[in-house]
Amino acid sequence: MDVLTGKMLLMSIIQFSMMLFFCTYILDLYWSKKQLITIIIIIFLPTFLLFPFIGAWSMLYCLSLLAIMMYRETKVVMNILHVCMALILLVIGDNISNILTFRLFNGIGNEQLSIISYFFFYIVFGLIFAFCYKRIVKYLISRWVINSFVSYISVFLGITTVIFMYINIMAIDHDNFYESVQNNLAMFLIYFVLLSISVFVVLYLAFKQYKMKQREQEMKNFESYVTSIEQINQDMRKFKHDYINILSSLRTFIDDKNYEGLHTYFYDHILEANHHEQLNQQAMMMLNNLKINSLKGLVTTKILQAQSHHVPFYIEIVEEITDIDVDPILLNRMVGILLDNAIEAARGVENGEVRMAFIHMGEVVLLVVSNTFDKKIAIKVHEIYQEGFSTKGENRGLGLANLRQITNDLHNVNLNTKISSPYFIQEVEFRKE
Amino acid sequence: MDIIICEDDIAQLERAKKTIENYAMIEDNGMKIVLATTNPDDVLAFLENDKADCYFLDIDLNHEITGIALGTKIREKDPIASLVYITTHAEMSYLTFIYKLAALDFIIKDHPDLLKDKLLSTLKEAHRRYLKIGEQDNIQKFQIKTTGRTHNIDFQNVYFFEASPGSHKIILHLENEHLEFYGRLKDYEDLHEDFYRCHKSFIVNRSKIKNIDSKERIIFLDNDEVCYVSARLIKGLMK
Repeated sequence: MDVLTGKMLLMSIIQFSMMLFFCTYILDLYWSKKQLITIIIIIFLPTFLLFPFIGAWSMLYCLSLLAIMMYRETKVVMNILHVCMALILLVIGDNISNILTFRLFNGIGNEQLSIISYFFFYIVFGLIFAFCYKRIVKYLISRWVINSFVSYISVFLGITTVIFMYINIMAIDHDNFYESVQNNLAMFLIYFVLLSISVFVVLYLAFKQYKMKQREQEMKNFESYVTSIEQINQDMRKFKHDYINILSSLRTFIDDKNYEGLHTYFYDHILEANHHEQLNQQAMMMLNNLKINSLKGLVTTKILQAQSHHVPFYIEIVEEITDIDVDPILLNRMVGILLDNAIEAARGVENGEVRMAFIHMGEVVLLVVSNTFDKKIAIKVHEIYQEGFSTKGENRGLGLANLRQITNDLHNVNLNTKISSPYFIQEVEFRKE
Repeated sequence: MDIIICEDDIAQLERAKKTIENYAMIEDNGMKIVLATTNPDDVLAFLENDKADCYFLDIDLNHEITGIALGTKIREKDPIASLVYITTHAEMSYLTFIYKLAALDFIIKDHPDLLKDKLLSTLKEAHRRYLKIGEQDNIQKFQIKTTGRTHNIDFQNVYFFEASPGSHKIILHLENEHLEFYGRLKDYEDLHEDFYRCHKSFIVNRSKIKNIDSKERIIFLDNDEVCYVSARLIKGLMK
């Protein structure tokens, strides 16, 4: 009996640590000692104590608390799925290890050897699964966009799988352990493959839909670019017409020697009117040098958006920008996030303005976005990349965290951030590949 | 401090020249205009064997050489001189000048009444910088090359270096700036005696540490940012 409890204890410790490692590794988390102790006392200890009474169901307790913990730590719904997947993969690993050990050492009958080999296989499979799973997840996240609908469906699928898996485990016939485990494993594997396929299909469809929406948006953006250009053309024609009128009224002032009137007319009417029109036209004219159409449309939309919020938007593209070596969808997302944030921060601020420039620095294309911000809020560079950070209320700060994520995955892109009051400046360096 | 002005409009050139000369006479601080011209070729000829400390340049010079091209030429010879651009609102390319030419300031000539004040305040700033050039030798700096640019960084400004996981990027954390570049932490840990490799992914500047939570193995820095220290390397910090 002592040997059995000893084995049980060791097994639970190893399984719990693997479980915790798996989740921590996949989500890139960092636990402080206090948190680790909390996890052990609140999650693992009760699970272990409950196990003899309610059996495998205690794992569900462990799983739900763990999932809640991960969610609280990261605030990302999708991470609940990862916790479920960690459990599923580890159970599969456990089954495979059991079977391998049974196949290899059953004849020898050495209890200790088979325990060691079981743990060895278990840990090895656990590590391999964790590594592969993280790879796949990272790839999918960097390529595909996951919206909340997809994450809820995936989490639902994950939880259902775990529940069915446990119903299955409950049904294990302990008299015929090896056979049952083998059957179980086959069932799990089939179920797991089905689950993977369905999650994959859901993700894929969602991504397709996103891409289509994206393209539609691009078309719309480009249309607004064309409309703006037409508007400018019309303004020019109007200006030419006005020009004649202006000259003739100037002439009247001069002929009458009414210099007072000339002064007011010139400064209050001509210069003022000119200035307002110039700002926008200049921005649109600068876009001529941007030869990436999807970006052109996006920037136009943002110029119009800034205008509707009465935020002056200056753009400088002195040299032609023909290509940037980044996937167009990612590039659009990055520029979109940068400009949205800049406009948002400059909105409603006294002297709020947004400046944007594409600059050739040798082989590198440098994108600079700068904005003024509310000086009453003392922001620090290291805070703005935290998920959920925003100076304007909750649930608005995901953008910059996403931006950091995107640039981290692109090896030819660097992101620098700087606050030099009153400006908040972001520089993105795009290297040629 | 030697000053050069290049402006194609002769009236504006005279006005700027006058303003600066008057100011230099009153202050008597060694400022003098060594060249005031409408032709950028004169500036290039002058640069052949001499250089000035402060340049006021118009952008549109009515010449095949624009103010930007002239600025680029000046920068090739002299990376620290102050460049000031005189420009109309429509030609304004603020960020491009700063990033490409490290221009000191811009004077917008659309508002002639503001022009004089702006000219003088810029001149003062250029002079302040000029005086600092000599002093700056005492401040220790090192260079970071990001893609396309070189940054001179004050050791005193560094909080910590962070290696980003999974790529060969390093993020340098300064007072209010994050700089990202390619490299290995190993090459930076011996740059300064205050730098300490406290973790596989971090080099911390000891002089910026506010306190250390040795139980949780977290380092709190003066700007409230945090970095981590590994169990093995914490001893080197606790001394």
